[in-house]
Amino acid sequence: MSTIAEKGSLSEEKTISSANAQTIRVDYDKLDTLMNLMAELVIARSYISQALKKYGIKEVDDSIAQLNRITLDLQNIVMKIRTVPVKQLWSKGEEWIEQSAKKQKREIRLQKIGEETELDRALSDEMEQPLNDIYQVICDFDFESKEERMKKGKPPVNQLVLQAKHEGNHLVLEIISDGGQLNRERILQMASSKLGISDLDMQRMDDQEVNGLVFQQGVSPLSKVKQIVESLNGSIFLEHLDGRGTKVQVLLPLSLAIIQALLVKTGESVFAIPIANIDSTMNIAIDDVQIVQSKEVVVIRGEIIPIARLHKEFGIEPNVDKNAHIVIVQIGQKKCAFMVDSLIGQEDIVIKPLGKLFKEVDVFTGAAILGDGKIALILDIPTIIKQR
Amino acid sequence: MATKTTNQNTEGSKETIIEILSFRLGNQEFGIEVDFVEMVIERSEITMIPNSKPFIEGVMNLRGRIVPVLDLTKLLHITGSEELTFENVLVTKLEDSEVGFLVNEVKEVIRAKESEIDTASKSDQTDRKAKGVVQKGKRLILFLDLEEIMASCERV
Repeated sequence: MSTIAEKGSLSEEKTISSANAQTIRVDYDKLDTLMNLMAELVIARSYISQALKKYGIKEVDDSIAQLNRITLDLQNIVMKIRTVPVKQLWSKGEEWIEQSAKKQKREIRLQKIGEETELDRALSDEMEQPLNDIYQVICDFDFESKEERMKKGKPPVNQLVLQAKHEGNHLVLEIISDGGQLNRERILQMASSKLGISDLDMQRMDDQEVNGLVFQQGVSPLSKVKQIVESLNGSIFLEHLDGRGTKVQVLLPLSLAIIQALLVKTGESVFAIPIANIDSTMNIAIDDVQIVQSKEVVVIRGEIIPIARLHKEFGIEPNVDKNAHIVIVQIGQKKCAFMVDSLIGQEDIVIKPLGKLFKEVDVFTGAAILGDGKIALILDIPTIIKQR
Repeated sequence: MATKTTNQNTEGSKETIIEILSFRLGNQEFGIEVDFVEMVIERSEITMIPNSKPFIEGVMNLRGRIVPVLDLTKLLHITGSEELTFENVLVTKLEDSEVGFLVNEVKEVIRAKESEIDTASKSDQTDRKAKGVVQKGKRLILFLDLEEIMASCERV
């Protein structure tokens, strides 16, 4: 049973202790409402903070600090109320694993580590099918037959380990198989003539790039998984464990709707860049911009980083200056330097979806309402980097 | 569903009456069913969304909610309206989705019998987006089909 942190404000009847855990059923809709109200509270607090900064009243400063602390605590509790243990998600997949294995005539021993790890109920629901797809790919392509295993001196049964843990701001889900058949050669085979890249070019790719190929459309069911994971603001990686097996790692943000972002300004428009994607920010001189293969780049500490001028990307009038502010973002190993007019500052923002009318505008994950009522568009960094 | 009241006229036949809110864009009048209207507000700051569909003016902050604002002149391919600035936004609600439309002014609620909607006068350009033309005195009001308009917007 889950234990919810106690704070003085919780009413007597809901006091929970681990020795005598009580639970109540709550309508998911009510939790959604609670979450939305929580989000509005975050915004309202920003409004007040912003308005009062102008006056610099000391007594108010202390109260605002307290309000911030309370809001943060409240935020954490609301998040916890919405969470479920990953055990639920995993048990839904067990049947699928058994069936897939039976179909492929592979025997599996399943091991689970960290099944009490909590994740948001919505994430748990969204990840059910993607996980099944991952299990399918592992069963179909990575596991070995009993004979192959015995020849290699491995235990006769394929081991599949499911692991979950929290790391920083993320939930880390790992699916580790000790098969190892889904190696570089296998992936190159799967990708051959499916991507419009010549076999020769693919041979030249380093291991990391080859591993990335398995997530491309047409190569394996993992491309759909990647889409879903990225739509949840997460990321997915495949790693070889030196012939001893294969690991698929999914990182998902712990907090669904509220993120920390850096607000930047270009022209009159305000954009939000999720802090989680930011490597660094700095000023460069316009003269530092160089052109390589008709694309603008800048060299930072010996690294060549492509530049994206936000005003050009979005058709905004630029404020031309001798110096430029750049925000270096990073997804996996890829970096990109966004050139903006100015940096506004870091804010907690609530992601609000743009809606059905904007479904093809994939460069934004949504919008946020700022403390002053203005709307900031939240940049979808993985999509923007992919498009370059 | 539109508000329809059954009206028994002197010939003894029933006819449903539709309530239409009329509004003006430039020198043309349009109407939509009153049931879909949530509110009319003064135009405030509209944030442009780069790379969005051409008839989308942008989004606005409506008491903490992000509401898209559309330009009907572009949706209905109405020419000669480039110089217009719209002072108000008509906010509609269809199946829990709010969508705003730029308008000059909102006029009044017109009650029209179904038979009074002239379906023959629709131009090719509006096709299914309008249900027909309603006459009130000398005024001609193009009665729009909001459900069809939203469906076609999402299709594009």
